[in-house]
Amino acid sequence: MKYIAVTAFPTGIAHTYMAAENLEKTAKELGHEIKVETQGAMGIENELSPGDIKTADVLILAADIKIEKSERFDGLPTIEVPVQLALKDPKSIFSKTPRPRKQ
Amino acid sequence: MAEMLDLCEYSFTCPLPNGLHARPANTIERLASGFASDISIVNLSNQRVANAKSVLSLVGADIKSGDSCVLKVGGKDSQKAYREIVRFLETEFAECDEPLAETSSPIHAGWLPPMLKDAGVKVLFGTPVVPGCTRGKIVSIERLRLPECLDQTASIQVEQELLNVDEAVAEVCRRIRRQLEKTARSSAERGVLQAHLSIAQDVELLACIRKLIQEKRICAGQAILEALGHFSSLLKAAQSELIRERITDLQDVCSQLIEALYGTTGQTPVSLTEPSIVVAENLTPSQFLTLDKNKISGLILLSAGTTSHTIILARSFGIPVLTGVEHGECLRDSGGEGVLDADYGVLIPEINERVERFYAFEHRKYRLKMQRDKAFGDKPAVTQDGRRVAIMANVATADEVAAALRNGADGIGLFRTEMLFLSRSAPPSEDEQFDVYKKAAALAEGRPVIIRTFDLGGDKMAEYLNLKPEENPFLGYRGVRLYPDYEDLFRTQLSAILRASVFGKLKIMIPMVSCVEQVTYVRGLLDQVKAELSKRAAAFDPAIEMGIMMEVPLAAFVIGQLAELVDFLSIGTNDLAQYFMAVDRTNEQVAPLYQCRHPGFLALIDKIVNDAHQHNLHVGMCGEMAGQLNNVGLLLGAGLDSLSMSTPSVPEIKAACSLYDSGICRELLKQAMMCRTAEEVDALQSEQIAQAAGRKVVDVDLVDIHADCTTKEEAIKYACDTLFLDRRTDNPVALERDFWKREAIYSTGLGHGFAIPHCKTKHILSNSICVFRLGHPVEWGAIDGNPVSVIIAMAIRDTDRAGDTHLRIFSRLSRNLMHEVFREKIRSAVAAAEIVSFLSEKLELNGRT
Repeated sequence: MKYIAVTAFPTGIAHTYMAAENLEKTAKELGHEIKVETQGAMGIENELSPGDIKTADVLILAADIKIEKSERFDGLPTIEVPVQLALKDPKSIFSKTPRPRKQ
Repeated sequence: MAEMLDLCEYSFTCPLPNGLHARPANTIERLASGFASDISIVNLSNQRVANAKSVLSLVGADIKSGDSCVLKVGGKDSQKAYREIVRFLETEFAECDEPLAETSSPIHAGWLPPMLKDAGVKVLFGTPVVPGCTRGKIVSIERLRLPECLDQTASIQVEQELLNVDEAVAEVCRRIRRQLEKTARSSAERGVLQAHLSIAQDVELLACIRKLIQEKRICAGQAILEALGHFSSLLKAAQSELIRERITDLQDVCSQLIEALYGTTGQTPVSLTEPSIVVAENLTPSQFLTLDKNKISGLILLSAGTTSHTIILARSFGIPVLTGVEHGECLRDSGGEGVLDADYGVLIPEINERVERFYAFEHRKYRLKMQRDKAFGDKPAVTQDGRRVAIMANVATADEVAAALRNGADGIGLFRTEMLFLSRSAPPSEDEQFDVYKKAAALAEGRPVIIRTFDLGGDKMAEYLNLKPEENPFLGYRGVRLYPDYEDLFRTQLSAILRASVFGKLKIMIPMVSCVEQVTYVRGLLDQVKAELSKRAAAFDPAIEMGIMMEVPLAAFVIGQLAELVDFLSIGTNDLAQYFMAVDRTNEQVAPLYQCRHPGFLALIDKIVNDAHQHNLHVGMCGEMAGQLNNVGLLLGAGLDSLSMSTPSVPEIKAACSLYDSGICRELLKQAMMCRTAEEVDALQSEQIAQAAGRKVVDVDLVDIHADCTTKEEAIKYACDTLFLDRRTDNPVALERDFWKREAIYSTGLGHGFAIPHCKTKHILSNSICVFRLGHPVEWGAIDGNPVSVIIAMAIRDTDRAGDTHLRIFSRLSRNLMHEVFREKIRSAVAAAEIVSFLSEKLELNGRT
């Protein structure tokens, strides 16, 4: 499977990046491909390109705030989780059923 | 015609911001009492009529700022009285009051560190009036209660009662005068006693007492009580707290009169046996003065206003005071030991282990801060690259010189002499001045003392100079501009300074110089005075240095021409800024335009320093700007040779200088001068300050592998105190609040025994990471529910924006923390330095960041 993900947390100093790191680490362990965009204190980093989005199977949205440029992902099968879960039990995220993202 | 002039009237509006309270009323009373005429003031806003010879009557008229009033003068010497009083009202009245002492505000109204808030004891909030923190036994004192009725049924002899009153008044005045001469130690104490003396002699009060005795045929004591009732109800109705507050003074004096009459007031005096926090609804100044000041550690006045004379006295003794404590009544019977913390604005009536712990933390913080400051105070201020800067103190009396030196001052950069000339009817003699300057010179033990010759005019009017009121006093007749017209006065001062110069290293500094002619004139006069002294065979330092204040922008552009005539310059930033920016910073509407860190003002300072150095002149700064921590980098960048400030700032600024590299500071100033706004300079500064100050994000001083914290609350306070002690924040309490704001969103306990409390805050000077390892894990509400034994606290400047390299450090740290190898390395490091070098490598903190 090819995953893309966006992480974002209100203060954007720590949890945004910890969640991103955990998703990357876990995907690797599970043998998935993943690219994670962070929307934190540093702004948008590792931004997902139209190509990334087009070729992705599933979007993981681990955000406790409204993310920027969300229209990019319209229609994409999405797993939405609180940031907390990406820290606590990242494995469980990958076993969730994605739902089509509302237009 | 002459009869018609007998009654003269003059309309005026009260210009005093605080209304006609006791202090200005005293001035009017003294003036009016010099005439035989009847003199009254009518307050048209409430139709009250006041006898101008009675302070009680004047304050009872409740004259507020802006009230329309009429002065009425009638009698034998009415024309002279009218002339004098109108002259006073027109020229001096508006200036005759002093600004009220500022009350201190709590560090954070309503917010307490959780370590204290959740200590499990009652915490009572109040209004801090005099700052400080103290503990002691809570002792409750009854407010002054006078007997309700003193009337004896036996028939009284009116004449005898009138005599008794006279004797009692004479006795009370004698007692107060004795206190004034013998025991009063501070000017505050003398001021209060003077006020009581004038109440005891108040013509209206005495007339009222006499009338009551004669008309109601009551005894003297009863008449005093009824007169007290009469004036109290008058004052009680006043809108100004300042005036209502005087009821306590009136009660005080009346109780003294009753005591003089009967030998007792029926109240038993309280004696304190151990350090005590005294709780009372209110205390009269006399009640306060009878207590042993060495045993009052703090004072709680439940219903006193902030202008109470008792509070003014407490302040002069350095006793912390809280007023308006909520539910303070319940303290009456406490009797246990408590803490009065006027810094946080709280009273803690019982002390448990956790309160003890909080104050142990506080105590440690202040002890280490003092040690740290002392260490710097004892050493000269030298920048990282070895440039020495003289850190001096500003003083106004010779007595302050010793304290300044104890704080580490390298000398006195500004000795203001105005104090010697103000509040008196004639100027000080040469010998009186000589004694003061000699004392200052001797106390400085060879360090330089720069004596600024009198800077009168402007807002400093000395009576005997008979200066005319001006439309625009700050642009008018002041400083050196007065000297040619008051040459004798100036010669006398020069002579006194010269004679004192053999007792130490004195220098002369001239205020308000704007042009070469003024300096030529002063130089000439100085040479004359020297010649006269030689003739008198009086000793003086022939090579005494003479310098000028740089406070008129014009002078900054003729430094080359001035250089031949002077030895040094000292930038007075307060005036220089107000003239350069055309802003009166006391005017709220324009105060925001007063910006010492404006690029243009920095450029002016830079120009002055450059020009001075080009002509081999020493150049210092003695304005407020010199004593502010966040200016140090910019001022070092300008290359000033000395900074002079109020004494308490000396150690802090000395320490700050030692953190900087003058080359980096120079770059910082250059960039600041190119900014567009003061705000940009601020942002630039916080960007550069860490770099200029050589601060690293992680440092051994921020790592403690044996931190003694037993709760989350303690750990966060410990982090803030650590950052404070390492000079990374000047407001650890505000910083702590910001940490807790972040905790409220979502726990920072990320599992595996790690917590990362953090915040973006304006209360951190440079980005910082603290690492603490705890002996016993503490509860943190972590994701995995496990307690925490490693705390990595991060404080980040809120001016940092996306893209800042600094922020990347924190994201790198966060990512690394997700890996067990990284966490284990921090858990198992055997020394703080090991953690620092490991983090430096992992977070790519190569050298300075």
